[in-house]
Amino acid sequence: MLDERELRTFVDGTTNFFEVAAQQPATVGSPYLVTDDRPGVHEYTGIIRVSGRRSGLVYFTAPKTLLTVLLMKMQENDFSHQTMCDAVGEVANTISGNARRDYGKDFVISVPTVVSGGSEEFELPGDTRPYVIPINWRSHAAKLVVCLR
Amino acid sequence: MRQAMRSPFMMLRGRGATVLSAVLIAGIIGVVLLPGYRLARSLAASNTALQLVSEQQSTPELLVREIELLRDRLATRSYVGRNLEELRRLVTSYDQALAAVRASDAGALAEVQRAVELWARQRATLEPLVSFSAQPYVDTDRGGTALTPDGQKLAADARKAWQFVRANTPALIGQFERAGEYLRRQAAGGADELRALLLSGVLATLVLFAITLYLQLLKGRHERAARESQEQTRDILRSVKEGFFLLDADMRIGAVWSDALATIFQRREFAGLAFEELLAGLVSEKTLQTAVKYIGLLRGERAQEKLIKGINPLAQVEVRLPDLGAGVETRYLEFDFHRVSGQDSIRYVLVTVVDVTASVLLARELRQSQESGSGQTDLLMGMLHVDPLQLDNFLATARANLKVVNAVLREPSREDDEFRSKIAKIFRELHAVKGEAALLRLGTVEARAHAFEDVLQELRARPQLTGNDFLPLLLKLDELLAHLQALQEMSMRLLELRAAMTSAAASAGAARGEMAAPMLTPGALAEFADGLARRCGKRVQIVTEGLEHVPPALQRPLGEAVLQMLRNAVVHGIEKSSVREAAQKTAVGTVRIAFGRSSEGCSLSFEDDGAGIVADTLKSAAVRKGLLSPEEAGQLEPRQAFRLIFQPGFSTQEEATPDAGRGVGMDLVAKLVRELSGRISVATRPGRFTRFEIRLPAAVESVAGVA
Repeated sequence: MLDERELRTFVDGTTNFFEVAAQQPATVGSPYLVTDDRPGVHEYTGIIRVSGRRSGLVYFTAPKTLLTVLLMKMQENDFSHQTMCDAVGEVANTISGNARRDYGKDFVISVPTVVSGGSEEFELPGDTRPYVIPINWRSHAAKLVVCLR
Repeated sequence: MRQAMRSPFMMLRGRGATVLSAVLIAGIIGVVLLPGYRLARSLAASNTALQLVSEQQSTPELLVREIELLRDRLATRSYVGRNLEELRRLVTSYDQALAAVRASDAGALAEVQRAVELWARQRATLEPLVSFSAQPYVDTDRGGTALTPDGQKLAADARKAWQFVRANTPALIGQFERAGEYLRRQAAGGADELRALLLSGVLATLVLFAITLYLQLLKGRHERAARESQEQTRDILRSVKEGFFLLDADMRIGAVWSDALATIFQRREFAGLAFEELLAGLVSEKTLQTAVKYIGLLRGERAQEKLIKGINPLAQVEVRLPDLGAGVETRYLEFDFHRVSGQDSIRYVLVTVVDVTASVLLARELRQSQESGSGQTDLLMGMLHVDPLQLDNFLATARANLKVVNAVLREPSREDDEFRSKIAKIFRELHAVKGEAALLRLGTVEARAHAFEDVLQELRARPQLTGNDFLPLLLKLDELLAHLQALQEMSMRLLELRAAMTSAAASAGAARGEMAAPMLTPGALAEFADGLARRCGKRVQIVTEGLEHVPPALQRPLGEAVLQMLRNAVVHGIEKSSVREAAQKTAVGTVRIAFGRSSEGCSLSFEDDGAGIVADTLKSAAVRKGLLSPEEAGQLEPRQAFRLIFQPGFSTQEEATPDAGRGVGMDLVAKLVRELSGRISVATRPGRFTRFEIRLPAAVESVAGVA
């Protein structure tokens, strides 16, 4: 079972991204567990897989509207599908970097992968209750899902 | 090791054979070839001399005849030029032959010496003939051809020489024959000697050949042994599970290593690789530097290998290595270092690397299994006293409570007051779980619920709340759910065990019969109150009335309410025995719980003979907790003050204990009553009693049943 420090590493990685990349901090909504279902995804999802002391995956999923505003804030003019994927991948990459910094020795973290179109065709580890941490940025809502055992 | 013993011996034998063959070669050169060469030269000289001697054997007689011819021709005044020419040739030839014989081994012979002397004398008599160059004749008209004075002298010399040569020729021939004989013997002896030399040379060559053959054989065997040894070494290095390699003085890997090394480090080339390069990125920089220092220490002559073994920083180390799927995996390696000494210094450090991942993981698993086993045993022991069906009932309710907690968490929130409202709701649910767990004496659940409440309590005290502050709640909720799951699994096992022990039908029947077992049984309440009182250092008795008439639909809500009130009564109401006795009361406090039904509905009365509720105490607590300002508290009527006890988070107790102090219990009671559309009233008299009256409408039974 995760401990609080580990969980915070992922959450801080996510909020830090918005703080640095968009100069506008994101806030954390009320976190909850998913007990019977899948945690759900938005249109773009950046996934990192974790092995080592913990195994499973962590993903950041956001709607297109959030990513569009984010790209605008980042002075980006290209709002293509690929740029959206890159943006969500970048968030996952920052989360990964944060975890590597704090738990480099214990966690082995994969290169981020991106899925789009609301696809949830990725395996979640069994026997776990995914932690869903809503990420609120401006008027938009995304979520960070931590599913590790 | 066996190879290492045999090798010096073989080397010694090989060296001896080499020395012997060198001696033999020198012997052949010194004893056979050089004397043979000398002998052959001497033999050649002797043969030449012998040939000359043989050739010149008839020369003295030819000389006699030639001198006779010269004399006669001079007498007849014939042409003598040719005779003189022949004479010179014979003398020169004999001179040369004699010189050759003298130069030969026969030169030293007395016969030769005498022949030389004789010839010298003959030579002297022959000299005037040989050296004659004048005209021997002169032609005159008167006398015809006549001898010149030189011719006359030549004639006289010829006569003189003829006489001398004829007299000495037999002696000279004899001497020459003896010299010839000697030379023949000499040649024959030399030939025999040369033959013997050649024979010994052949023999020595044969021996040399044999030795060479032996050496080749020895070399072949040695090479075979070396090859075999190399193959064995190769086989060992190929088969061992450990990674072996040598580190030189520059801490670089040598030319030989075991194949396991490639598997362990997922690379192929190691020769010349620096130890630091090998471990770079696999272990922390600090560990690597310590390891380098350690090896340096090991190479030092002073340090004792055994003593410093204990500080080996790589004795067991966690590394991250590439896995087959191009990812990275955590492995555990054990490094061992040994000195390899040369004649006068430490030449290498032998490094052994073993991948102990499987053992480490197994040990960890075993430990976890033991801990889990021990945890499960504790769990089992902690729940054995609970009826499995009651437990099942509890677990279902607890899960439902926690589901509500999660649903509360899931409601989107951004503002502080929204988060605070969640805390109050979560508190109520948890308190219900904790209360029931306490009733069933499920300490593990109670403790976890209490720890959860601790976090909630701490959050409640914060001036501002965000979702970030709620992250610990998520972990606590997950932990509690996991624990309930473990209890559920254990309960299932217990049920299976019971079913196996009794007949399935009887078990099922019994199970159905007990399924509706009420929570509000006097025994369970007394047990709960007893445990609670003991923890508080108090004594209490429960008196019940009509609880058996509580309809099943109300069992749970009223049961929960009674538990909270009981907890409140024992912790806050009933005094310790000493206090009670001082106040002229019985040492044992009494709690009366009565249930009654009427056409209007039903009622539950809960009364304790404790300290009662003091309005001022409630007001002070409300001020202390920031629920009221001092002014508001001052204006509060006692009746209004009593309502404070139903406020979420209100408690007169400073420190929360597992039993009370959260200010949740009575809030939960109020909520339960509200949900049942009932009313609750409180009556109290300080120092004497506190009584709660719950009144529920008649329709509530069916509603609660549906709920």
